[in-house]
Amino acid sequence: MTKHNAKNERIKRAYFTYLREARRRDEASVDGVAKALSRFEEAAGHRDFAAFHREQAVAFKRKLDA
Amino acid sequence: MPRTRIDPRRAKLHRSYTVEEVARLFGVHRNTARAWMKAGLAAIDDAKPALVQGVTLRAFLEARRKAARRPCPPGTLYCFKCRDGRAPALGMVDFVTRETGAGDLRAFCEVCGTVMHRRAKEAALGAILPGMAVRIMGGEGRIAERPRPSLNCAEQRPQTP
Repeated sequence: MTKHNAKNERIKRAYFTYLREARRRDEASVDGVAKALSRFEEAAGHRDFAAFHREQAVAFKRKLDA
Repeated sequence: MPRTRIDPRRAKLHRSYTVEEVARLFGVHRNTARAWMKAGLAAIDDAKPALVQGVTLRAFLEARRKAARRPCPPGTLYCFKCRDGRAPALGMVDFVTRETGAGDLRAFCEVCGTVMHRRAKEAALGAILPGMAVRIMGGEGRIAERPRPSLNCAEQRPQTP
């Protein structure tokens, strides 16, 4: 069983529906967003999106640059 | 449109799926998808609608496919009627060579008498059927007006009374 955050999964799912239906994004674009988001989640230790802090984003950027 | 064979790689790793989406993705019935969840496919939580992570879904289906594999032990060919590896009846096996060096093994099932086939290299016959006398039959010549497709055995099946 892979590590995951169930609340985040549901938020992401709503966002993907928004991208696909309201913003008319192609499935491949949504896939790219999904992959990027899961990379961020992994870097942030699968913390709740509600507990987001800008330092998490900064740390993620640093990890991407490393 | 139902699919006969499920490709686990259709599930996307970074997406999550409801039961309906799983059913649509693989062309199976919703009840089949629910049966998978009963059989051990883990949802992300207990909330509704039940969601399955794509990575979990793929791993589950791959494990199922791997568990369903039935490799034939040495000395047997796969009998489609018995759905198992069976030894050739009376130890009689024919090997029809083809131009490429590979050929078709052909034997009768020792249990039900169905014709069993297996594609094999001539060099590998000893490993597939150890200690068994394989009658090697020449294949068709190169210059044939119409090559007969391999393993087409419809007219060679024993007639049932």
